[in-house]
Amino acid sequence: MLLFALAAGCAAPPELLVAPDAARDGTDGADGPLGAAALARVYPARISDVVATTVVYPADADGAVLPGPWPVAVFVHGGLVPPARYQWIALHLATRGVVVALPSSPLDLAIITSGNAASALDGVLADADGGPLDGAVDTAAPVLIGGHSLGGTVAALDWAADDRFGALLLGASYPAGGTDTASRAGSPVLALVGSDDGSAPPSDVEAQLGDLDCVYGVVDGLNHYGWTDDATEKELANDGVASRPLEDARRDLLRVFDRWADAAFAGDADAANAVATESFANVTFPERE
Amino acid sequence: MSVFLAFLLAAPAHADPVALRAPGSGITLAAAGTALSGAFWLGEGHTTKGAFDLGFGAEGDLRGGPVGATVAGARTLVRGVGGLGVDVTLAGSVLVPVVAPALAIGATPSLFFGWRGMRLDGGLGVVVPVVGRIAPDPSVRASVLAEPWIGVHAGPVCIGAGAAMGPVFTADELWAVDLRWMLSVGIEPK
Repeated sequence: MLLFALAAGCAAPPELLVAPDAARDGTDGADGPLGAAALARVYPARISDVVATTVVYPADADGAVLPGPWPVAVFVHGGLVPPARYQWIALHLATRGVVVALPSSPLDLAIITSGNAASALDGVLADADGGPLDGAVDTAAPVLIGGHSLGGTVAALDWAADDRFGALLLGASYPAGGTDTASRAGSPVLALVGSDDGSAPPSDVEAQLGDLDCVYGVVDGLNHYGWTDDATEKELANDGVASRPLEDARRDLLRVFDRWADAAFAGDADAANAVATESFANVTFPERE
Repeated sequence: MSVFLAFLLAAPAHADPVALRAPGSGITLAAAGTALSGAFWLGEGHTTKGAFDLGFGAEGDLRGGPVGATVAGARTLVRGVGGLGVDVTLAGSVLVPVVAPALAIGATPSLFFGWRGMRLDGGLGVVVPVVGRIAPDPSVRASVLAEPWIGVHAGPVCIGAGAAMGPVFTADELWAVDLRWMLSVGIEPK
């Protein structure tokens, strides 16, 4: 028994992944000035289960948590894609002052443990109350939930079921049929898809979004696995060919996302929705019927 | 009463005494798999209707999940010529999640349909683990798992492999799927 308790109690030390740099201003899709570090956590789920979660947070040069309070985002990985391949977006957010949880799933299939996002949020909030994130979380701010591909579909389920999630990002994704999106009317939703996405082409995403009230944008030159790091040859073989450099396409994506997320974290749904009326380089907002 | 020690590196997140259902049930077992690990002491209990396997277990989840204690019984309802039959088990557990202060109790009934032979065991179990959290706030989860097992006897050694899959329902939470696998190695007692 002692062994089990010790095994559970020994958390990995935090790891500084992005050093602070005051020269970064966090505008125009760039990283912010803060450092970013990651912490491996195990949170309870479904009473007697657990969810391993990577928590990425604003950090100082030593990897220590910067005093916030910071808003929280939860990002759900895509099907058969481990959460670590989305760390780039978590690091970006953390440098701009957001605590990001990346929950894991058995077999990297978030759909079979769709409540893990809520459990990860419970864990982060518990950590903010006397735990490793003590005092660093803004519990009053809306929580953003997002996901890529199948992870976006799962994120939509969590968002529809849990009022704590105050905004939804759909990355190359859309809610599954039957998701009670109407119950969250007024909550900001951003759906972004790449023009070169071969797995979830813009035409499919737009059709599947149906009458969901959301900001829908198409990022020029981004393909499906441009949302992930380290895409495999097999994945790319089933995807569209990205017509622009990944770094450029991600910068365009983040320019829109940051503007929308800043408004969502501030609880300003009108400002979040107004993103679609602004002009962003290499991102279009098609008229939806 | 003969008592056997079973090391169990297996199974689920609900203090489920898989040792009682593994091929070669009633023998000394060592098993490996997902999630819960522990030790199970198997003995023999008696009622007015006859003897049954009686076990006391201690389990823990090396991922940082709960630790627990279990008392369980197993009994063969019917077994015909060739070893085909039906076994039933019932386990009661106390669970203490490690990652957050809490206390829960569990009950795990199961039915196993299959054969237990001289060289081969195999069949399909239906397991219904139910866990109720008592503190800090009450809640309950229940799952219905299909659990196929196969076991091969080689002399006194029995090697088993099993898997389980089924839906998990937790109060006020989204549903989930429980997926797990188990391997066991047993030595027949002399």
